[in-house]
Amino acid sequence: MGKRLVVLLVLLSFVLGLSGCWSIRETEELAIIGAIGIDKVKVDGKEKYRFVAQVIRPDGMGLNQGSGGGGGGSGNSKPVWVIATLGDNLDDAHRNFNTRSERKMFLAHNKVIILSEQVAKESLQEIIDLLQRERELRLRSWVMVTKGEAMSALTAQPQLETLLHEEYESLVDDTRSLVSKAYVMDLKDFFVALADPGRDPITGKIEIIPSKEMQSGGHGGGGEGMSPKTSIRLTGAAVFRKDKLAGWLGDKETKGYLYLSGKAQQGVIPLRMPTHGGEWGDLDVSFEMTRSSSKIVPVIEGGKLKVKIEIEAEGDLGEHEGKLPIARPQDLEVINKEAAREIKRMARQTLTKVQKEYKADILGIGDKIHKKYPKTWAAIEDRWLELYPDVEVEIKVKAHVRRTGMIGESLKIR
Amino acid sequence: MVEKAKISSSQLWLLLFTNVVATGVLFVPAVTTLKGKQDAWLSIAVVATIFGLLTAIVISSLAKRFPRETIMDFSISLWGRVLGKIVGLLYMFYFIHSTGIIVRQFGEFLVTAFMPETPLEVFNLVLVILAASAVRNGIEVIVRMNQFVIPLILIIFLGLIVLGIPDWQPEELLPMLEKGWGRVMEASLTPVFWRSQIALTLMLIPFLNNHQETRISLIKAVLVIGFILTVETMAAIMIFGNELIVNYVFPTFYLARYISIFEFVERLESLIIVVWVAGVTVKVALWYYCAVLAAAQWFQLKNHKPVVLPIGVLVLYFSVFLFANTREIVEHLSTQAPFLGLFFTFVVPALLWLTAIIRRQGGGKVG
Repeated sequence: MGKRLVVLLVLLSFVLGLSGCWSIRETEELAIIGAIGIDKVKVDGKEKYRFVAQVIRPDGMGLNQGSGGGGGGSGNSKPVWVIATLGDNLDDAHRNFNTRSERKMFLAHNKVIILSEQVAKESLQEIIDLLQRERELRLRSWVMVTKGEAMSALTAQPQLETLLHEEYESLVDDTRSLVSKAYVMDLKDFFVALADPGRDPITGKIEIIPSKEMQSGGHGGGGEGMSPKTSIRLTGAAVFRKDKLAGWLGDKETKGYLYLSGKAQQGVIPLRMPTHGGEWGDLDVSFEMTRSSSKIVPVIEGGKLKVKIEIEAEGDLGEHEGKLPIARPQDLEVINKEAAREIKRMARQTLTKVQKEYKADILGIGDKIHKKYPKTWAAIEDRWLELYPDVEVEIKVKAHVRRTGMIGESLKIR
Repeated sequence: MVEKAKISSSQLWLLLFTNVVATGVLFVPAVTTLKGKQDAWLSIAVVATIFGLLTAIVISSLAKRFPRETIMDFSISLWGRVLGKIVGLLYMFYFIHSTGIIVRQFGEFLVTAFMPETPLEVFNLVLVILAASAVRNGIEVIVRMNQFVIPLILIIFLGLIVLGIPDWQPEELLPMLEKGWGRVMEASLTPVFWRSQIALTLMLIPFLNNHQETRISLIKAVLVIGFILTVETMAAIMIFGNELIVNYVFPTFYLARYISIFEFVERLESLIIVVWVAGVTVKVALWYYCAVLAAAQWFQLKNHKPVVLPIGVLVLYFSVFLFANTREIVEHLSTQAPFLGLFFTFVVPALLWLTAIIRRQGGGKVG
């Protein structure tokens, strides 16, 4: 009996060890990070990396909501704490985080990675390496480039969300597709595009804008404490050539890219209609995009490489200023043609810019050649980016207006 | 015989399935794509399967001829006492060495991917103790343990495959056979070696209760393993493309991590840990058991229990000191291990079989 008891006690004592493991990390000991940014700054003439992390403060969040009416609350209970640390290399800067934070960095919930323009212009090699080696980072994080410093992109004021990184995330996930003026890659696609010789990365551009709109906000009396306010805008795209930022695409050019790659979703294309048999005059119509698809087909004709891009766009009639009839089938036909022309113009403009000016293969044309003509590709793979600007590309666009909204013709105001 | 136990034919193939897939699913896609790029899945689906079937035929033929003997016994009756004993000794060392490597893989993955602060030795020690307890209790315990975890493993693998479908980009598999079958063959060394691990059956022959079905269950194991590994590799290629996949030590793990369904079903990599811990425990127990049984037979012991502890110590030693870092393991698994493995899982059994055919030895009823 006694012996059994001893055995039982010994066995039970093992349970103590089961309750946790060696690498245990309690939630309250973690600095949960929602967004990170990478800058390069000059300190005493020496170039250093700056690692910016936005730490979520759960207690701050609670206070923010709770004390809304009271107006008081302690001033520093913001929902996030932005920590910036310097280091000789990126890993060093990233580790220095814990010289300031008494909690351990926890990156598994990170959603956004922001690179400054300067960092992106120089080689990304070192950054990519760290991002890949790091255990906790998720490949679903969104990569974005900001004009200016990453620091200011992370200290901007969130508008509708409590946390800035949630705002970034919603801009990317939910509203980007409503406008089709920006394109963002997640970390995985970014890596894929970097690793593939026949593909170059393109990703979101963040602009920081001073906002007057929000000055009127403010809780109760704390108006003066809020230093110059800025907010963020996701617009356009950053184009990379290999691992270096080659340039930017504007709104329209990004839309052109989205059509070229068949990724365009909703959005508006304003059309200026031509005179239509004297009937229409000069009036504006908007083509409300709904969906699109594209085919990028490389062909070899007579030993010469050519690329054919076929775009199909669908949309609705969005807005029409004018009184003349516009919703008859034959009118829609004209709009179809006009929309196709406009899309083709945008696509061509984008293509010329990335092909001739940036020399970046963001459409993955090289990859398409690799897949269709592996032998040809093997011969040109090494000098693809030199050949690419001179490849002839043919663009064909078909557009279809499917619906006219809740009305047919415009209301006749008499 | 050292132990009285029974393994049914379905238990056998399930055991072999876990034996190959448990570690294969993490290492095979990585090492195969390194050489085979987007054609890696062909190495797994075609070359490794054909080879696996060959191995299955060799082993099941030997099992048919010597239904009551392990390789330790029939190597002696076929090749004589001296050579047979040497072969037996080599097998014993091979089993111990391999068990050590498998234990190391287990700990290494957990340390790399999940718990960098925990010393490797802790994982290895816990696993070896657990496996030792299973081994002491005999093969039947291991077989039943496997039956218990296999639904878990299957559900998780199939789940990970299905949930990854939204992110599949089938065109990533193109161009097929870019560098011809040469590259496919070159890449198939690792998957071939992994599949040939079904040869562990050589130590289990006396426990099989239905020798008519041995061949069928071996073939079944080869095909099902081939299916899972092929689909898993294809999925990884389709998601990461043939350039990025080469970059990762554990693509399957990243695949699980990348899954996101409505931003709700996410962070499934913990499931990989479930498979890893459950599956590798079975695998280690099985290899450990083979090592123990080989030792017991070699020293002609009546009971296998006395050698469990010393072999456990050896396994632990190998698991910690054989490699200095992760890259050495990957290097070993992609270069030396396959040759060493194939010598024991295919070359020696095939030679034994040939000898048996030529000398018309074993079983009486030659098929």
